[in-house]
Amino acid sequence: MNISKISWKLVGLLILLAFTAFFFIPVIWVVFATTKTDHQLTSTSPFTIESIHTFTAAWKALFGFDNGIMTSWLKNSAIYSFGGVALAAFAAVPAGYGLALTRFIGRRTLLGITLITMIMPATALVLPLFLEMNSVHLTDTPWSVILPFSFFPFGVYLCYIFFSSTIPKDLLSAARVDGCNEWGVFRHLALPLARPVVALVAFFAFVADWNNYYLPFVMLSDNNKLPVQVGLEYLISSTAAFNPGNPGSGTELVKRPELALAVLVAISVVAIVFLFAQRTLVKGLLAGATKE
Amino acid sequence: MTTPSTASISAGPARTRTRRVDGALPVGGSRSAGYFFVALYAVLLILFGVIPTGYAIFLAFTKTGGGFAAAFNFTRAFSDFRFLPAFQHIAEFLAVWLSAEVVLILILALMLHSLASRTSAIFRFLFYMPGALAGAASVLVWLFMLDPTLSPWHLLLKGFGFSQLNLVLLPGHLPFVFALIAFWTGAGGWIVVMYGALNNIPEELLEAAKLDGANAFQTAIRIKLPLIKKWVAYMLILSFAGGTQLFVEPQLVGQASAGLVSNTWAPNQLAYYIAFNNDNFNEAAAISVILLVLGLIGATFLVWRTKLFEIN
Amino acid sequence: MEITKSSMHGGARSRSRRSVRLAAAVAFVVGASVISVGLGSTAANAASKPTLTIWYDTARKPMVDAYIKANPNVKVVAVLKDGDSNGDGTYQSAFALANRVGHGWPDIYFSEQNNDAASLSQPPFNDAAVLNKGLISSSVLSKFAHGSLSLCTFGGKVYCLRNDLAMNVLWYNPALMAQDGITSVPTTWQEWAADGALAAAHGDIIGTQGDSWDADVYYWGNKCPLSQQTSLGNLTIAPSSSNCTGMASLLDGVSRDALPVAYMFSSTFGSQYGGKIVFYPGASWMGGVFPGIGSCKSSNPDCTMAAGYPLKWTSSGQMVTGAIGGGLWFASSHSKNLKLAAAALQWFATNITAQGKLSPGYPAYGPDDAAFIATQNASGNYASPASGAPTLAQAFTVAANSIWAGWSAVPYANDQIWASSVVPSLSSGGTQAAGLGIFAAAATNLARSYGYQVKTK
Repeated sequence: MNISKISWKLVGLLILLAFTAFFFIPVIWVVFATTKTDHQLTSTSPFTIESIHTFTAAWKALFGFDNGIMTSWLKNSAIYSFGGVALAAFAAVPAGYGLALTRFIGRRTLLGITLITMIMPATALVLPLFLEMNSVHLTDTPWSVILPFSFFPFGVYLCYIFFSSTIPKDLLSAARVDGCNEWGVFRHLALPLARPVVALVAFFAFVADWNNYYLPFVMLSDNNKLPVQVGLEYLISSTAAFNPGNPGSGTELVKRPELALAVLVAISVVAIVFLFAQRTLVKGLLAGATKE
Repeated sequence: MTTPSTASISAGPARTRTRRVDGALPVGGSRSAGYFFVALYAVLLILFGVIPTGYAIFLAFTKTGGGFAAAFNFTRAFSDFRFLPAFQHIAEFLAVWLSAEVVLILILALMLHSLASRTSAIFRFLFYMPGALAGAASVLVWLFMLDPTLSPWHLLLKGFGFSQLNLVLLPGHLPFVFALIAFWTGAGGWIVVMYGALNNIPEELLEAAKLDGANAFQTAIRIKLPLIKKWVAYMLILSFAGGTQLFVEPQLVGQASAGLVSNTWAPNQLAYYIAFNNDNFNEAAAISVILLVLGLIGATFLVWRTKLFEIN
Repeated sequence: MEITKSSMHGGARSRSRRSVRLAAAVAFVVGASVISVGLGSTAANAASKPTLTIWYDTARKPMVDAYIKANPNVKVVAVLKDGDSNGDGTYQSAFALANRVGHGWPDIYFSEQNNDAASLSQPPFNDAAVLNKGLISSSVLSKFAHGSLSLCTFGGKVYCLRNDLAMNVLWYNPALMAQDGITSVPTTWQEWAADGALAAAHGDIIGTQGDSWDADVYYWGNKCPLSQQTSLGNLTIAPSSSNCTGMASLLDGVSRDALPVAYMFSSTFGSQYGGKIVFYPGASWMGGVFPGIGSCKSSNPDCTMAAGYPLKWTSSGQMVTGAIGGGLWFASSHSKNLKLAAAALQWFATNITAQGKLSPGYPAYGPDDAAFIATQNASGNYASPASGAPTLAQAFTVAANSIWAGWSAVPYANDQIWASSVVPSLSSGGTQAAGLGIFAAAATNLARSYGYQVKTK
């Protein structure tokens, strides 16, 4: 075997491991942090598991905070995100297909406008969206969050680039010659082939919705309707380490390990969804389709 | 084995004729079909994209009390003492972050693509995880990661001569710190996208390259990269625009460090501050429009260079 | 085309499954939102008793619970907010939106930001209700500590009630003083600075610098005009005043071993300085914080501190001090039931249980002070005073009446400016003297952007 080849592989492996450490160590740290008391967090080495009892105590404290509001926050996040994803995918996938594989007047305009709205700073859109929702009396309802979530231009572009760069045109025209109508071609041919990108769109939409902060922050004023991301902000401002402005003895402030646990709970949902989405993203779906 | 869906594809000419008689959509990528596919999205685009954007632009040219303001909001923004420093900050940040993005994401995606798919799935998961830690969640994490006495990286931080959080967050370091955090949260997602794009390169192309005697490096540069050009362009457009709109990182690091970072460090923070703390949505909208224009200049350049809108 | 067909086939099957799932998800969302909307409206209809919406922060929760218990005939909608912490403008954004659409205001709200009255009472927000024109009687208002409502008062109108004063005292640790050979509690800044050498020799500290509240302690506490409103719209920011430069050179003269650049709530403070704080010029609420620093337990004599009088510039001079934080109670002028809101506001700011037992800070409302001190003395958080030094009650009372009124609330956060512009300079070796100039430049720019006429002398 060629020695230089082996040493190159070794270098490659080392680079990958270094980046793994960079990306993953902070995440692992959060896991460890949930087993520590606030004091141990600052006094013990970052990578020690202290006690499962501390974890259970933190769990109880977190889910007992403000009469169990954490549970409501998680449920709300699920409703808003899944609702947003369903509508977004339902709109984005056909749109990406239409933009990539059909020709119509206004196609480029649509692509251009989509890009402009994507580039527009999100903070600038908060007020207009709020006024819009208020004019139809939807503020402080789940719809004020779900409906804007359903507009997911990022996904449209993902689909557009996917359909325009990877679906073999000969396959489509063959199907058309075979007598499929346009909807049939999309449903029975393009959509199955597009499974990886549909998963990708759904996944990114899910993460974007789950992590969105400002839209629900502005739209919803009832604390019981907030999603977990906005909730986390309240937990942070209830933590002395982050908000020392007015701490006092004997008040029920949130401690950092409970905060770490809240973070862990919030991200574990995304992690699980990612693992499921990965399955659909596995190699070979399309490679198989194009091999004659 | 035959479900209705496969049948309709393989049934052949006989069905074709009946369908045509039924007056179904004509064959061959018609216009009406195109409208049909984009209809729902177009409605959403108008409601939640065009109208709010249009309103924001309208605000930028309107006085706070109403009435056409011409360039008033813009000149006011330009003359704000925080305006130039904010744009200077963001320029430094973009230089660091974009170069890291393009180089490292492509290298990592190409490396993962050369691995067995199971191994690479594990790496993709590990790389992606920080993406789940957005917004408030990363406040907590980064407070600790950047603190030299507590961080798992304390050896590295101390190696750079940082003995205290205050020293890590000196003004000159901030563009690097934010680039680091932004890369940490954002890179995994783009690696997944790039990996997916690489996966869609037909096997036979790669096989052919191998037969021609190209080594892995040459294949990556000459075959793979040109084929995922559109994806790279897309990433750059969004990253450039997203980078100019930096908000979360300075905001959260400022919060986690009791205000060591100004709450008007980046232009988007400045716009937010002016909008909500001064209740001047018009001047804020003007700053947003400036950011939009910057993003569009970058985007137009890339769309033109990479032919992103063309379909062959 | 063998592979193609089979892969499509699989796709079609799982697609139909997926569309079922999708339909289920949509149905779930629609159902869930209908339910929650429905619940909301029935709850509102059922309310025949008056409704009171309160925005509060976590530390105020015991008080809110007590109010609900004491007022069964009021339907309270208690909404946890961040108390506008760190001056991040939570309330400003909420009112900017509410004012535009004409709904969404609370009835009363609590702010941790003692400069909030400056922005919330004035255009464009215009939310805080005027309290001294019929809502709260002048006999109640007059019982608040002298000058404590100045942060709430603009043009003769009182827009808020102070919750607590958060005035600065000199915290000292009798056990550590003895160890370090410091024989008496300092009464002047000069004595305090001189003790720095003794403390540093034993690895102890006499305070910190590089906190966001530096200016509130050292400069406000020495009548240095960095935020002095002389008349509505006119602000004096004069870093070259001798009160400012004198304090800066005093601080710069103390070794950084005795007065380190460190932040009390940073994650490293406890491990570095826990049990090593001999003196700390700081807010009244810190007494409850010291016992929790590092490995401290309240039983550990190295950690509990006693309160001394605020430091003076010269022994014959006047005693003045500053304050760090201290919350404010507001009633919204948009409240539909302003009478009820005002009554509730008065309850929160003056009720003896609320202020004497449940509030973590020294009550601004004088009649509640004794009850508060009693609660504190029973808490075990404080060391017993050194001989000849004041009791907790004496120190707090004197300090509360010595707050310099020349430090005015402005609609931006001075602490934020200090933290983002001066602290980085101090961290990299800059002096307090240089810091004054940096602060003044940044504050002047910001004040002008809010329309102030700024005088620098």
